[in-house]
Amino acid sequence: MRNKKETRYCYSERERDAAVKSIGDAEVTRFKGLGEISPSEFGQFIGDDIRLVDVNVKPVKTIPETLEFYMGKNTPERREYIMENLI
Amino acid sequence: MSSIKNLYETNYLEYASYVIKDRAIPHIDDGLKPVQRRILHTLFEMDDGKFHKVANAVGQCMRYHPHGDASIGDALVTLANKDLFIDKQGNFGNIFTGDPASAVRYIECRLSVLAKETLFNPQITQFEPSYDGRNREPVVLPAKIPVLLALGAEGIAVGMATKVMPHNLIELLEAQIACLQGDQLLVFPDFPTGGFADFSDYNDGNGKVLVRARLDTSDEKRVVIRDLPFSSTTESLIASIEDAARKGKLKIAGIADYTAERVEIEVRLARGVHTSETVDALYAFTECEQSISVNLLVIKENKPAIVTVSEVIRHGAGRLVEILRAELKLEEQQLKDKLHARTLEQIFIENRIYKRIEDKTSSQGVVDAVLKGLEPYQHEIKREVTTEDVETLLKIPIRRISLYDINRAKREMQEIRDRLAEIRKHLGAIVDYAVAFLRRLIDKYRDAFPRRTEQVQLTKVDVREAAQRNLKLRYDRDTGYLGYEVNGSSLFDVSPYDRILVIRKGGAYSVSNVVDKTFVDKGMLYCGFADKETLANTVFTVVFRDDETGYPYIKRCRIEQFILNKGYSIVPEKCTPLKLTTDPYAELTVDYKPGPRIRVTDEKFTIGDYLVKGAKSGGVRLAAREVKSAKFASLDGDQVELGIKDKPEEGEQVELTIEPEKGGEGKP
Repeated sequence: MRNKKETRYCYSERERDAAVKSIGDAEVTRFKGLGEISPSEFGQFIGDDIRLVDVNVKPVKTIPETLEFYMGKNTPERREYIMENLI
Repeated sequence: MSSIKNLYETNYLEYASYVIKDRAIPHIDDGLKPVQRRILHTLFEMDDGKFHKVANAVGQCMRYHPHGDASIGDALVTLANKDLFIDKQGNFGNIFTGDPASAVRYIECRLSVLAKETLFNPQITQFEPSYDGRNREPVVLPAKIPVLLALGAEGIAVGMATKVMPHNLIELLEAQIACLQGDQLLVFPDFPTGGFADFSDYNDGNGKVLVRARLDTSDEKRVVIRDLPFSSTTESLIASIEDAARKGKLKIAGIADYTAERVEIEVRLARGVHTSETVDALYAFTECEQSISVNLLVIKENKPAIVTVSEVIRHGAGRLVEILRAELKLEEQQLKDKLHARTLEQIFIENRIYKRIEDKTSSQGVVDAVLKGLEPYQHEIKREVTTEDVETLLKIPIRRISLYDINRAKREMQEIRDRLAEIRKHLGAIVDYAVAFLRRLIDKYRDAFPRRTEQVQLTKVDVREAAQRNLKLRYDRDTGYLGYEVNGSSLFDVSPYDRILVIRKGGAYSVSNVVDKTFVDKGMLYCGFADKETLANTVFTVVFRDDETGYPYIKRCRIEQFILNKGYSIVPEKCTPLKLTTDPYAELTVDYKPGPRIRVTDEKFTIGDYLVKGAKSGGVRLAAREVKSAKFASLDGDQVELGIKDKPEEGEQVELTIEPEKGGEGKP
């Protein structure tokens, strides 16, 4: 999201809507891959404001279980889970 | 800090929800996936009756669909090739041969008349902002026909997928009429490729369809394929025939493909082979017959839902009524506005109200004068006169006032009133109106959409039955290999589709397909066909030794339930089989280990005395003495410890002796 003065990176539709409201007259575009970022902008994008999420892999023991649930052969169970938690 | 579990959960659900609701699964209302809806909406916006370059349409479509241009182009070509909503110009590929379309810069398209007639009406469409907020796109199109079933659909989302067959448009419309009239009409798929199909397991859109090619068998020495089975192309069909021929399941001399506008694949048969013998093999071993599993998953009320064909038709009929009602109401409103304007105009001109403004100096004065002039005629004007109405009146060019034709104006107003009355009548009998609408469509398009696939009752050609048992199953006793490419003594004749039950030396057994070579260990106890009938008629009698006590046990069972290739054991844990037979009348002799004060060292048993139980049952103890060996003899006294016969008769089971155990026996 950007206008002449400011560029904001939004990470969800809700953030985008809030940003549009707060700076008003702005243009919205979508970054799906690095191709949509111009070289000069890249520094800014990965600058101090970049949203990084620390990923905690502990306890390691549960990871195979988690992966198995999301990518294993338990299709009916997973389908149920998706149906129930659909956003 | 975010744990990987939570991260996985949110990202996975976001992605799954997106793919399901916004990518791969069609919406029940208009039967379209987002990309298709955006393509049709784009074409509608671009529509000027002329052909447009597909590349241009794709570019325009990207304003709504922020994804690859190639994927939009492919989606457009696929949609156009359904020959319903898009007129094509240029090479859009060939659905028979699977040839791809020319590049999008060469081919052109426009909306078809049917699409314009049945899919759009911006005034009653709900729009939402596009991804970047610069445009508005329809949430769903106001489709008046069951698009989903007419087009068919295939989509793989996350955790779920959809597969909808295409149906015949005219039959769908007829089913909708029936539905509106309170009847139900079952509709079955119809494929653009024609051919034959059996819909007995269709299960209203959530079962299976069996499709077959149309074979021309009028010639003894060649089979000509005239219609493809749905989901095959000539290329894939020919590949499947060549593959079957290579594996020796079909004997052909050659294949020639003459397909252009119509499918024509000639299969020339080998010397000594005739059409009548080949047809079943073609169905069994090639793509000439296919079973397609269907499942009708759609987005309904913003959620994925499995529905039936009848439900989709019912839903479509309900929506049609709503859309027609909305359209009529819209027209009614527009006509009322028009009539109001015309009435005002008539009064304004006929009664020369315009003359009253001549001496007014302020614009407010002008408006007031007109309002005052109209006042006496309020009973003719149905609603309140607004300032905007007056502004409209004041904008009438003087020329029109001088040339005003009272009679013509009256006639036109009468026409509007007539139409309004008609609309009220339609609104009062909206279902009849909807039926009439569908009838008009049917009359107009009946000839354009004839049924192509012939519905028949088919019995599926069973691969196992069509296969010839022309291979010899052999067992090499010295190496322990079994299969039709093993050097060893021949057991019986098999086909590659046969399943066999093998019981190994230690009592482990499994059912598997016959293969060229597999290791089953030396000392195999049993090998035979594993079809239902054989297994139901075979009683296994096994004598085994408990390894802890050394006591002999007997167990009689049938093996009827199994999972292919899964390992089982015919004896309980820590037991060793001594002998196995399938002869129900055999007599058993058990030799005991010699010991102090033991005079009788052998004992005879009649195996018929023991009950036949399940394969998982334990055994019955024969004696509380350590067993040395056991043997079976048939009633007439002959020993039935069969070795491998040289030439067993067809279908015969073979039991094999196990080598006498040498270890342990010699020790005191």
